[in-house]
Amino acid sequence: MLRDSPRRSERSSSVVDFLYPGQTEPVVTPGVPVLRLPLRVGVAFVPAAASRGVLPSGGISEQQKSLLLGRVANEFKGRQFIQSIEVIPSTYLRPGGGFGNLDQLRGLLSVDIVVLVSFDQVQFTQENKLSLAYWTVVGAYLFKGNRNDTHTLLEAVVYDIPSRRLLFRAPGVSEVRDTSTMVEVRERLRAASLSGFGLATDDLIRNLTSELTAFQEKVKNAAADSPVARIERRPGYSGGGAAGSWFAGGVLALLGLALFWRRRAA
Amino acid sequence: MPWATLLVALAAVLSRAGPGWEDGLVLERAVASAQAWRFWTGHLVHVSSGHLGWNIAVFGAAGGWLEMLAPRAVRLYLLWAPPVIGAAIFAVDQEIGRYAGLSGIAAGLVVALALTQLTRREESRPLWAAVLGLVAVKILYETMSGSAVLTEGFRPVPTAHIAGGIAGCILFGFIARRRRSLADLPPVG
Repeated sequence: MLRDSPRRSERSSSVVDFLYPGQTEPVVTPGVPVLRLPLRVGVAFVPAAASRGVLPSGGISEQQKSLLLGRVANEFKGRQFIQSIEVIPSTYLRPGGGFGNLDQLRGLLSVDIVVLVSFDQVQFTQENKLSLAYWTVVGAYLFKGNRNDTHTLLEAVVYDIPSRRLLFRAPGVSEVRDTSTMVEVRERLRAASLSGFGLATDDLIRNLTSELTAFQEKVKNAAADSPVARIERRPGYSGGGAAGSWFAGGVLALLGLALFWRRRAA
Repeated sequence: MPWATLLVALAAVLSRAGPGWEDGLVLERAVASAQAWRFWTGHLVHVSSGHLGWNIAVFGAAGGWLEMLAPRAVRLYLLWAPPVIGAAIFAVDQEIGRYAGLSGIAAGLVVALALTQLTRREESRPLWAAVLGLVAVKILYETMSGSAVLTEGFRPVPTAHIAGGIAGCILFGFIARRRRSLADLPPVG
């Protein structure tokens, strides 16, 4: 009953396979992306490849994918430079659909920016010494003789569809370790798979937020002759007058000094 | 007692009290001609607590100070400046559909206060010149960087501060004309 080698299962999807099917070297189109504010964004999981391995496939359902993407979308919905974020069901994407498929999405859902999320999840289960108790049959129900590991990687790439340019990317990772009895292995691996996706999504949201901030800085600080992206505004865009922290702080400090000076002079 | 400044600041705070109130108050190009009150109320609306907080801090400090020096002129300014600044924004920046924020009016008060104090002998001229310099730096910075930034919150509108600065110069003109000598203004502080 005690096995030396772990049993393994892997599920994955690849952005490169989706965007550049059958190409060994992805073609990068030169040009500067033009971002028209406020942005209309779509977020989708790229179609997954068939799962590989000997373990029963846990995986992630369309509904669960939609919930995870909904969490990502909600995190960025409040930003005023984003007009809308659509969660795009996987049924809208064809395996190997490429930029042609993204152009269709652009026409169908009116999105200019797409966040493509790919994943790679590997699950291992290996018997430990307690699995010797499995020989008693009852032990398979009582002793946690299986050690289960779930490693999940989510990768979000943000593309400007018209220019076909990658704007930025961010990863999200998680690791779930667990032990179980032999009869519980399937159920526990399925739960760990979901939990792994949830934790990796949390990490992905954190990393996307910091990458977005870094991208904003890059756009702002790029030299005029080699811009990272050109920013344009749609008519009707909202704007406002803001004193801002540095200006308000400066004015208040100077007024305070003037008041102090006035009192001393008096 | 600078009651007009306090009243406007209080109204700005209250405009964030109810959900969705902003939509009825914000200065919106499409409906501004039919709903003229938005030229006044639009300046009271803010998109975030930070936006409100910093604007109120500058507006309250500069407006309160100047209202104690020249109450009548400031109270009149709070009536005529909002629609003038709003109209200037829509005239100059054709892309703007909605405008919100008190800082255009606040910029005018800062400029008027600094100009008023600069003309008084007993005040520190370098300090008040620095206040004017800070306003100029802010306008320059926004004009040069505003169009290239994915702004967190909303797009800054430099026109609001430029129009506010001009309105502040006009306000200073009123104050200077009403007083034979600016040195006669009451001391504050």
